[in-house]
This record gives sequence, C-alpha cells and structure tokens, in this order.
Amino acid sequence: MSSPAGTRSMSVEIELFYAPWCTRCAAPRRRLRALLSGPAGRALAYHERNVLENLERAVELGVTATPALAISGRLVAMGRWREARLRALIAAARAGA
Amino acid sequence: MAYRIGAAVKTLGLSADTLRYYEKIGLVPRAVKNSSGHRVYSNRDINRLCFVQRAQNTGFTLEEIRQLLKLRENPVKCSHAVRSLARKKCEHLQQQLKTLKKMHGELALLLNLCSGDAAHCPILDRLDGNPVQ
Repeated sequence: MSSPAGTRSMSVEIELFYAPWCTRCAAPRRRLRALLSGPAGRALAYHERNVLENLERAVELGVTATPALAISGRLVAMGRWREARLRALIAAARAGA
Repeated sequence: MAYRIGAAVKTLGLSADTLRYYEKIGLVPRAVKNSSGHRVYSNRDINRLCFVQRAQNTGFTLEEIRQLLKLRENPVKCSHAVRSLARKKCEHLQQQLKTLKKMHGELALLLNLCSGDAAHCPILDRLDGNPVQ
C-alpha cells in the first residue's frame, strides 16, 4: 500500500515488515493504515514489506520478529506498539527531517 | 629432544594424516627416520608446526603460511612484508565478519518467523526463492 501523498517532498519513510502468515501482524497493519490515511500520513512514504521478500533490508535494520516498524531507516518498534507512541515517533521524524 | 609421530601429534593436537600432509606439501621438512625406521621430529620441527597451527588459527591459508614461514627466516628484513600480509588478512577477515553477521541475522530472523508447526516453513520458502516455473 502506498500512503496518501502530500504536497511536500516525502522525506519521512515508514516501513512495516510483516509476514503473510503472521497473525500478530494483521491488527497493527490495519491500525497503521487507518492512522496514515489521516493527517498523520501527510507527506510521508509508507511501505508494507513482506519480510521474506525483503530479508536483507529487514536484517540491515535489525528486525528479528514481525511485525516490525522502521521510520526513516531506523527500527523503532517490534511486536506491539501504542498509537500515541507511533504518532510521537512520526512527529519526531518530521521534525528531524 | 626427538618426538616420534605419536608424541608429536599429541603435543600439537594434530592428526598424523595432517602432519604427513604438511610434509607432503613442503610446509615442514620431511621428518628424519631413526634407526628403527620411525619418523622423528626435533624441537625445531615442533616449533615450526606450532607456528603453522597458530597461523592457521589466525585465518591464514596454507599458501600464506608458506610465505610467512619464508619470511620467518629473516623477520627483521621482512617485517614490512609480514605486515602487508597481515593487513590483507585483517581486511579479508573484516569482510568475512560482515558476511557472517548478515548470514546470522537472516537465519536468526527466519528462526523467529518459523513456529515449527505451521503448514509452511519460512526457512524453506526463503531457500526456495522464486522457483522457475
């Protein structure tokens, strides 16, 4: 899924690593899509990556389990995460971008 | 002191076959035989073999060890060459380390992804890649 594109250049990138059979991945994936379809998703690039098809990238980021979330090339969460924390991380990435 | 082959391999922790192989490829001089026809190794031979072992444990190949053994004959004049050989080895090990780290990361992730009782196996899926249809 590609995120809603904003008008500014997309310097913040969000990567969600999932596995197709991963039962723990579905809910965070759904919630993340919902979050990013709103104002929080403006002007950022969102990629959902099948971990098996992107194993090298996942290892490079330090992913050891799914779901895993990276923002701007930095692994920020694995397993579960709270939406408030995610919002804060996105805001911080935007501020630093 | 002279070591028979049994004592030499025990001291060095090598197999007799390895010792014979080193002799065959000229890494160590062919052992002299005593009056009973047994191969015997001098302290000098044992030290040379220890050198070979240590160099191997540091990652040098047998060919590189052969070069090091030549350089060992005159360490002062050859220190630059030894240093150069060691630097190359160090860089090679660094590269290997990087590769190993990546391999380890991939395998650890695949292990975490594999529940062990699912209908499909992510480890085999990964190794299969995209089979030609």
